[in-house]
Amino acid sequence: MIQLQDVSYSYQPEEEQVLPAVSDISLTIEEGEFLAVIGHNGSGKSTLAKLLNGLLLPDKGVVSVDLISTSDQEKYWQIRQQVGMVFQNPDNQLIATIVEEDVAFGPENLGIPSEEIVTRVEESLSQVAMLEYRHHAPHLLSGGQKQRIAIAGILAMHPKYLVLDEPTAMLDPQGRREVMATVTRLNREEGMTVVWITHHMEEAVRAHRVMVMDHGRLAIQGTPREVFKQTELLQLLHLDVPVITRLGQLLAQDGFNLPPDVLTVEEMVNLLCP
Amino acid sequence: MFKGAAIGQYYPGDSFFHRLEPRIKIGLITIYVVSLFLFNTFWGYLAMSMFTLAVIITSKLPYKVLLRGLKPLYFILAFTLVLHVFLTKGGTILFQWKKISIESQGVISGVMMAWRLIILVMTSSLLTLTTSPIALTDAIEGLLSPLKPIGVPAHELAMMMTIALRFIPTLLEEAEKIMKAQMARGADFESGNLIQRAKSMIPLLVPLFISSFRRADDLALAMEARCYRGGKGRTRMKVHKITGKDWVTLVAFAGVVAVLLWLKI
Amino acid sequence: MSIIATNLTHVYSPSTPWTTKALDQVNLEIKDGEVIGLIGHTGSGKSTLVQHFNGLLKPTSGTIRVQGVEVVKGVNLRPLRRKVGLVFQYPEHQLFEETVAIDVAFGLKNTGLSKEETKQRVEKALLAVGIEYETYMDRSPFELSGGQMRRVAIAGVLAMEPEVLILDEPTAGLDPQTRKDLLEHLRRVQKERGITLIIVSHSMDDIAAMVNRIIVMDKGKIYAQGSPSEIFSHGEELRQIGLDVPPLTQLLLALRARGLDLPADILNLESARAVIGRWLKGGKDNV
Repeated sequence: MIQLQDVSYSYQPEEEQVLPAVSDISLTIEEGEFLAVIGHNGSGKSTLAKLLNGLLLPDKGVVSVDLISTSDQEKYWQIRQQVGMVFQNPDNQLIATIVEEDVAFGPENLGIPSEEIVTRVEESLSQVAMLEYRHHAPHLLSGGQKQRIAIAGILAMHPKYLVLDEPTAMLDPQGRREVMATVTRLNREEGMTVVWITHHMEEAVRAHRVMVMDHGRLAIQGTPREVFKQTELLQLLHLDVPVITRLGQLLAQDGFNLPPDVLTVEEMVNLLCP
Repeated sequence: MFKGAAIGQYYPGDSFFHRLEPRIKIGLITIYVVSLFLFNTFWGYLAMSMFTLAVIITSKLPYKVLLRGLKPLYFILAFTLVLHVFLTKGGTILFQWKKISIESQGVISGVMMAWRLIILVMTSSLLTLTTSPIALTDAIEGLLSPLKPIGVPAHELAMMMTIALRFIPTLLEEAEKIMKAQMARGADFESGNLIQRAKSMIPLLVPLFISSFRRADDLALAMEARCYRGGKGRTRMKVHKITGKDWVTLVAFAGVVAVLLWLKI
Repeated sequence: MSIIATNLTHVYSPSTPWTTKALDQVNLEIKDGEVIGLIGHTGSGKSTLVQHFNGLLKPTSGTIRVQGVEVVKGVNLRPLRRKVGLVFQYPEHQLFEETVAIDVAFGLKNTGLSKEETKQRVEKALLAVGIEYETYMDRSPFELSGGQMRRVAIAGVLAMEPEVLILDEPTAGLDPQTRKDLLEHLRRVQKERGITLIIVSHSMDDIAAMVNRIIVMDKGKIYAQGSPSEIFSHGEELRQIGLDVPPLTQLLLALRARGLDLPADILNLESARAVIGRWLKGGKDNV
């Protein structure tokens, strides 16, 4: 369980620019949960992500991972091992020239014995369906493949929580689908707790819970259904509503009997054509 | 365009030389390079060339790649050759025109110097061609670590090398992209004198620097998130052990070279 | 004036182990004033194709004529590059000058324009992308927000007043609102100046509403081309070559798969609303 209690964070005031920050956020992320965090650029999403594994420490309030505060200097590395993090740019988080060497980087830092590293590398590469690429050079892979390697590099550290900061922002549709499918599977089948940060509404639909951020604050939260039916509020926050949800609402306005919270194409088909 | 660039190019294989422990390999090459400067005879060079040739053949390395590695050397080779041919005197006069003469000793030492350069470069590139970059950096770290007490940052140097090797292709690709984008905005990288050309590189270099810093920032964050905290307490997935066979190879090679030198071949 | 490609083929690193045929016998004509959406997944050849349009790449075989100029070795292509503006992906990464105004004016150097004319062009270009000249001219481009940087970078190309404007993934990484704004500006620029606009993208969602013709590329060849509604009615095939099909098209395709007689070429929410509404009202009984 990751807990945030009245957490605030602001960037160094010496930098003139007003940077996005996080203010007064309280939140509990349960084990096995898939939480999507959405918000426009600069709403504080990335800052929130970095607070979760102690890359940033709160100015005010407490962030705790399994009841250990991220500010506890002695537990620094334990927290980072527990809360794995994948970043936006797949090119800038791979360290080694060979895929398997890169995946081994995390466990090597943790001081895991060699034989176990080999097992972990194989295991995590198969979890993201990239085992056959183990001897490849990462710079020749596609964006989606690179991002899956980055995920494998985190999985090899055996974390409990997986935080992904806009992992699909730089990918093409195919890469986006690959990464989304990989993470959804990890959550559904292996019980991995996932925090997925994005500005693609269609990706947030798959989460158990959606949290909308605006100017560093938590604006709305709830199940995807609860959140996406609040069309007007979302538009006020400069966010899109999934187009299928919007269609359902427009048809309801025209007098047809459709709920305001249809999320997916399949659902809509079943409603229109039972 | 740059994707095929042969920097730190590694050709996976399973030959005898491929499998030698990387530290031993570095040792071998060091002995080779040093002895090359001690040898001064045709037979000595021939013996050394045979070693190189044997490694190339048994490792099944593509000749094209080896020859391409020599390309940047063509100018220096020609220069060395010409310098010796015209300036070294001795032996019989082969050609004379007014004050300029070519003498046999000049031709011989020119050819020898060029020969030495060629096998020197080819043999050194054998190291990177048959050893994966990671194994190589591990080996360098291993060889330098006895120097840690006197302040040599062995681990940090090795990590820097790993990262440099990883990012060279990425940065080359990026440089190409920025260059094209600026050309599309009317930049001209090709014409003008030296100073104008240097100036025209600014639109390439500024964005390249900015992006490198951004990458460095991102990378540092990603490494921290993956619990990187320097070399202390770090383990390795692949541990390279020096076996008896490795030692035998090193000692045997050193022995043969020593004997050749002693015989003054 | 137009862009005409005949049997255009491009091979990267020929006669090396890394040889790739990025374009394979492409035949294509783009007329003046057209608005084109060029779509394909990564590696389908779309970026390679547009780099021929301003001579950054030259054909391995075949020919390409752009605005009356044939792109071949030996031709001075700098005048062509002014006529054909190409904006690469993440163009904000190419900003380098000290101020917004100087950066936008970069392409106007050595064009013989007076100071006054240059200033006017810069002002006009910034205005076209919704950046106020007076407020931003002396600011460093690196202090701007991501969306503003992107727009300034695009203004740098607009300032050259190109006859053809090509943008590679202009909305990549932007949030929904910024994305909408940018496309709106581009549409207006195209209308006001009557230029040819080519938008390269892997998703047709963004651009379907604004283009007259979609060209779909796959494996270096032109896979299909036609009006957005024609292309959209082949949703399933597009999915198979790794392209994103907009959710509304998916919905209509799924409904048709259930035997409903609905058109598959729906481009926007309003027409989907109308079509489905009509069907729910009356047509439902007829099916």
